[in-house]
This record gives sequence, C-alpha cells and structure tokens, in this order.
Amino acid sequence: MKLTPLTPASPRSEEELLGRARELAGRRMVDLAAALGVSLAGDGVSTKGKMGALIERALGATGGSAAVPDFPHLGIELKTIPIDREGRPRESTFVCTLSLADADRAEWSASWVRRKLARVLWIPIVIPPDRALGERIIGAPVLWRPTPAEDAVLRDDFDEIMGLIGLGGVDHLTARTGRALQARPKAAHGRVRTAAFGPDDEPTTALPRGFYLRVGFTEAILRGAGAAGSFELKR
Amino acid sequence: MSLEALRQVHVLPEDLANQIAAGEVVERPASVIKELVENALDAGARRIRVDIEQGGVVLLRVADDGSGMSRDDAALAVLRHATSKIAAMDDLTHLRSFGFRGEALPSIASVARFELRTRRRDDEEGTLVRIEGGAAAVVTPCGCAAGTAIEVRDLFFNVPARRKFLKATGTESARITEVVQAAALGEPGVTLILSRDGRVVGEWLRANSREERARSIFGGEELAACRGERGPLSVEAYLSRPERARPGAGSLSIFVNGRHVRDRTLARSIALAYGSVLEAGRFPLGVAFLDLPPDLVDVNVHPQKTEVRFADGRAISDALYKIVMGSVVSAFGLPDPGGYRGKKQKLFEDPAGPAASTWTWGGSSEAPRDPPPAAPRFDPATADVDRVMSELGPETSDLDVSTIALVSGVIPLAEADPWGLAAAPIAPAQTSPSVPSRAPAEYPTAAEIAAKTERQVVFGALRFVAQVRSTFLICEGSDGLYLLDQHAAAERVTFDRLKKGYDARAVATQALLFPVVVSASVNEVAIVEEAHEAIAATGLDARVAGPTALSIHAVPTLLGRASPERLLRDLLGEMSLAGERAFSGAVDRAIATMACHGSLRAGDPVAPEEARALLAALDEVDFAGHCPHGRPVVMRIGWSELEHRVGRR
Repeated sequence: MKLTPLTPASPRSEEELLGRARELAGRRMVDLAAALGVSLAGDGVSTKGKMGALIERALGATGGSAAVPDFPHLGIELKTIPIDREGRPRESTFVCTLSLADADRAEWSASWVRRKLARVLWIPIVIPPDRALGERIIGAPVLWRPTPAEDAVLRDDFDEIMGLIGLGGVDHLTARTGRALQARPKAAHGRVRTAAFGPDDEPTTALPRGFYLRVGFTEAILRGAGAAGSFELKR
Repeated sequence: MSLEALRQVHVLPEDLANQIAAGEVVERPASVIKELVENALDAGARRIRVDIEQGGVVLLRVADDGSGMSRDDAALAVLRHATSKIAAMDDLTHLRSFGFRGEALPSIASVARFELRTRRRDDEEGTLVRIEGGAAAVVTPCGCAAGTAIEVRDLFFNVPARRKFLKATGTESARITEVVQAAALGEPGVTLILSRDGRVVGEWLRANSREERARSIFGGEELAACRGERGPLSVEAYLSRPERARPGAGSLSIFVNGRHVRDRTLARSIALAYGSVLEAGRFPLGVAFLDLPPDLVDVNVHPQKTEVRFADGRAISDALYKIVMGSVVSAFGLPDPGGYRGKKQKLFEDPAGPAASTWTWGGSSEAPRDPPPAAPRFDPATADVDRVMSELGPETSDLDVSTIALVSGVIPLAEADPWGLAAAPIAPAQTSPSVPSRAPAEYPTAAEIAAKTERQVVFGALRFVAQVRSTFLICEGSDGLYLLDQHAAAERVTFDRLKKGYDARAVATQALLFPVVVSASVNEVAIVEEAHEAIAATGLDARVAGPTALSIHAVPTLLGRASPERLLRDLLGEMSLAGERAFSGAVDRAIATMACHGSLRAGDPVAPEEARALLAALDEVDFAGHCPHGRPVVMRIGWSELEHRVGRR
C-alpha cells in the first residue's frame, strides 16, 4: 500500500479496514512515520501514544478521544499491543477508565468497557530489545470479538471489581482482582483524585482507576488468531 | 377497595402481612442468603453450598447437610411465626440459635418463587414445599439428599418497586460474598462454598479453630492474636498492623456469641486500642469474637439481627479496649495509648497498672484495693440492678453497673469488679505464625525491629554515616544498614516527650516576649474559653483576646521552632474535629500534629552531632517503630541481604 501524508478516509467496511491493517504488517514505525510525514522524535513517555496515533492515522480512525470506538460506523476499537519477538505481550492493555462513583449501578451489559471490547482490531507491535521507537515493527492484525466463554470471564471480573467498589471497598481493590480484566490506578500522579463512595455510602475521593486486560488474556487472543510469529520485515 | 372500606379497621391478608414483613427481613439478595445460611447453621450443617446467579436476583440456592425436617415441620416452617428455636419468652434470654422469629421463610416466599427440599437422614423420602409469590404452599414428596436445599428464584418478581432498590449485579454479588465470608469467619467448623454464575468463587474448608479460619481468610495479613477474659466476657480477636488499617469499619468483622453484628461502638473500642498510630476514622482489618452469657445480650433488636444490645455496653467496650490494647501494643510494638482522659478517664484508669488486684470502676475511690479471695463472684444476671437503678434515679445513668451496686450494697464491696478486670491477665500477644516467608526484597518492618525482645536495636549504638537527600539518616549497625526518616524520628521523640510532659502536667514552656494575637472564629474562641486549662497543660498558653481573637503567650519549649499560630491552629483544628470525644480524645492527635509541625523536617540539614543526639533520644522514648501518625521511622537492610544483592553470596 502506498501511504500518503494525508490521513486516509475512514474504511467503509471491516474488510477494507482489515486489508489496510494487513498492508501495514511488517513495516517499521520509522517508515510508517515517514510515509505519513510525521516525526518520531520525542521522549519515551509519549511513545505509547505516538504508536497508537500513527496506526490510527494510517488506518483512517475517526473516533479520536471521544467516548466512541475508533471506527464508530464499524463499531471497531483499535488496540495496539506491544509484544516481544516470541509474540508475548509486554504489558497489560488499557481499555478505558471506570467511574468509581457509579460502580454500584454499573452492569456489564451496558458498560463502556464491554462496548469497547465488543469488536477489537488488535495491531501487535514488535518491540526490539533496545526499544527504539523507529525500529518497532507492525505485526499482523487480529480482528477479534469475545467468544461467549471470554465474555463470561470478562463479565465475572467486571462484576467482581465493580462489586468491590460498589460496596465502598475501592481501597481493597488490587491488581490481583480479576482473571482477565483488572482495575489499576490510572492517573498522572498519586495526588489525582476522583469522586467515590465509602463503605457507609459516604462521599469520598480515590485515585482514578482504569480497566486493563491482563497479558495472559491478550496473549491468548493473539495466539488463538495465529498472529504471533508473522513479523517479517517489509522494506 | 372503596374509601369507606379502607377507613375500617381490618386484619391484613396473610400474604400482604408477609410482604410487609419481608420489607424488613428481605432487603436484598444478601439478606436472603444470610437468613438461609443461618438456618442451615442452626440445623447443624457441616457443609453449606451457596449458588447464586446474576447477583442473586435470578437464583439463590442454599444447600446444607444439616438435620433436615419432617414433612409436617417443613410445611409449618413456611408459615409466619413458626419456629423450632424458641417456645416461650424466657427462651429469648438464653438464645443459642441464629434465628428465632419465624419470619424469614414466609417473608422470602412471599416475594419470590420458593422451593424447599428437605429430608432427614433416616427418612426414606424427602419433602418438597413450593410457594410462588406468597401463594399457598404446595407440599409433595420428593427424592433429595439428606439435609435441606432452598431455592429462591426471581426475587421481588411480584414487587417490582423493590427491585429498583437493588444495586448492580456486581455489587449485590459482592454483598453476598461478604455475608458468606462472615458466616465462614464465624463458623470455622463448617465448610462453605460460594458459587457465582456457575463458578466457585469462594471455598472455606473446615478449620480447627477461629484463628485458623481467620488466618486463611485474611491470607498473608500479619495478624495479632488478642485473647482475654473479663468476668463473663471472653474476647478473641485477630487484628492487622496499624498501617494496614482502612477507612471505615468494613474490614473489621465483629461477632457477638457467634452472631455477625455491626456495632460502631465496639469497632471504635478496637480502633482506640491502637492509640495515636491509628488515625481517627480508620480501623484495622481483622475479626473480633466476643462471647458472653446470652442473658447479658439482647439480640432481638432488629429484624435482621445485625444489631445487639448489651446489659452494660460500657463495660463491654472497656473490657474489649483493654484486651485488644494489651495485645496489639505488645505484638506490634506500639506505644501504650493509656486510657481516655477527662470525663471518660474513670472507665479506663488503672493507677496501679494491669497487675493490680482491683480495677477502679466509676472512679470510686472508696473501693477497696484488694478483695477477699473467697468472695463469691458477681452474677450480673441475678443482681437486682434494675431496682438499684430506679432507686438512684436517672442522674446515675452515667455510672456503670458495678458502681451502682457498690453504692447500694447489693453486692459486697469486694465484688466491685464484676468483669474480673483486675485479675484477668492479658493474654500474651502472638503474631501470625503463618506470615509467608519473606522475599529477599522485603525487609523487616520497623515494628518488627522495635519489637525484638528487650529492644535489640540500640539506636545510640548505631554509627551515623551520612544524611542523604536532606531527608534520610544512614547509620551503620552491627547487623546491617539502618535508614531513618529524620522527620518521623524527630517527630516521634518530640511527641513522646510532649506526651509524657502532658501526662505529668509538666510541659516545659517558653514565654513569648510579645504575645501573638491571631484571629479566630467564635467557635474557636469558645473552645479556648472552655478548655483554657486543659490547653495550657499542653504547654500552649492561649487566651481569649476578643470576640474573634486569641492571644498566645507561651509555647512548649520543645516546639520552639514552630510558629505559635500554627501550633494553636493545630490544636484547635483537632479539638473542633473531636466532637463528642472532647479534649480528652483530641489531645493525642493534637500533640501528634503539633509535634509534626514543630520537629525537624525533611529538607532540614542535620549536623552529625544532631543526628547522634537524635539517635540517642530514640533510645529514651517509648519507641514503636512508627511516627505518631503511623508512618514507619526506620528500615534495616541486613548485611547478608546487601551482600546477596551485590552477588557476594
């Protein structure tokens, strides 16, 4: 695929999106950036955001930071996922923030996290040993929707996490809670607070939390789709 | 029904009465589980399995291997006020079962699709009782395992308004988990299994003791074992370190005669026992069991039976405080919090120390110090306390039972210690034997260091090496490298000295050359007006200088580096927050805050002589390994650990 500096139009179908993603597979981030006319200079902190932004731009995502999927008309969320050479995800995958104050009313079926995970285009990014941003290679995409069994696991975790918060036990929440989905602090620093409720329903504040998918879960998704391993470099 | 008919008095239909009763008993799925699990326990079950679906709204099932019921009993059990647990009013005062009202099953059956299967071990066939939304029960024979299994489906299907009050699936499920876990904590001899939406999420296998069960439920938490007896009251508790405390008492389970109760007074007594290392509003994790004769506690207070009333609540709180305090202080190396000061002092004051043979109740100085050894025990159940109370009138309501009895002569003077507070030794505390072995990266905690027998850490013997980041003092000891938080250490020393000075009413003060006048609210002025002398005892001489002004004439010498205004604001802030605790409850925290603001701080340069003086001073204080706010003061890295880390071992 010939990449242009301009953002391509949003894909009209799943097939078109998947086709574009397959075209990216095997390319280095530095080449992608050059094709899009973007500089890769910057510190390590902004690396994650930069990778995701480049891929979004190359694929024509339009969701931006709004509370909609990255491809709203297709209902597809885009997730870049850093992996090592063996295909193992290097870190858990952030899904979305969660509302501590509404936890006691939050149902899985209507939750934002479920909508986010209803249909996901996973783009693995192979991280070289020196972690150099430009040398990272885009992997083969995986278009995924949770199987009933995966959905049940995610629902269980969601209920367990939100149940604990709903009872005012946000302080009891640890990253160990949840088999596939976990809730972890999601804030720039420890002084950031958001509204929550305590054990006696008293208003309080707590560190904001976000939902993350565990490495084991995302690894199973990638391996299940046979995505891991197909990372030959395209020049 | 016409308006005319409505105005006439009439007896409510049975199903409506049951639904109204259900409003009290069946608040949510967790309350159904609580009732059913308690029934199973009352039936002598050794294994209970709880299954729920979608937060319990779709399905709640409790199956036990208890005694089961005959067909006649099963049919009766679903009628209102039908119970096997009591027969007469007197039975209420000797209650040993969880249930007794005979309300739970009909209430549940009136708001759900209800099925009960039961069989006694020797019966050939079981019984099925089916009720739909409070309709008439259909009783048929059935095949089933020995014991009882109750299924409750579609809770509140016929009262949709109640469903609106339910929370999300996750929250309702979490409440059920809490209930089942509480049952497991309270009944270590019973195996409990909780399955949620087809997945077992909790399994509490039969344990040999409360301690074993508590330690398995609280996992790797380091728990102090607190045991003690005071007369008829027996206390067994397993409580976490102060730094593991949480806001609210949600993680502190309290059982009275095996019944899980929510009692803020008892929870507060436990928190108070930690003294100044526990911030107000925070409670340790753990569990406390209180056992006492059933006639001294009234469980018939609330339909859900989560509240109890004691014949003498103050004596219970006092005894609980003392037992827990003695244990956690020694287990975690905390400073002795002493007792309440001021008005409440009489309850906890023990001038002769715990070894004294007589506890001074109600501040009665007339009480003899040594009771005759052969004196008969006081039996609160038989003493005519009510008569004495009525004779003494309402103004004596602040007195405790033993004081009243003493005044009236109902019991001999020698029995002024009805709970045996004086003689009962505080059980030696034990820390968890099941604390997992440490990973190399984890170091002994400050309290562990401090709690080593006879203080193995002699701070004065440490060699001061350097100050780093203007925050830490690095010292060399014979057994490793010590890292001290200079502010926390200095704060601990200052706090200890101020506290001792305050207790002895001998805080050294430094008069200000010019009084500092500060603006204050009317409320703050009132506080100073009312408690001027008590405030002066802290070394702060503050006086009213106008309707909205205060003047400061002297400050504690130890806090000379702090701004006088800041110190006064600290004190007033704590006193304003103290509320009902009044000054007696606020002084520890006020001194802690003042010590914090008046001590060496992070960022202050420390000369070697100063550091050595601080180390020597730490040896003189009632060192607990924590600053008054609960932060650790010192950390040790053993030499072997250091060698291991750099690959020398």
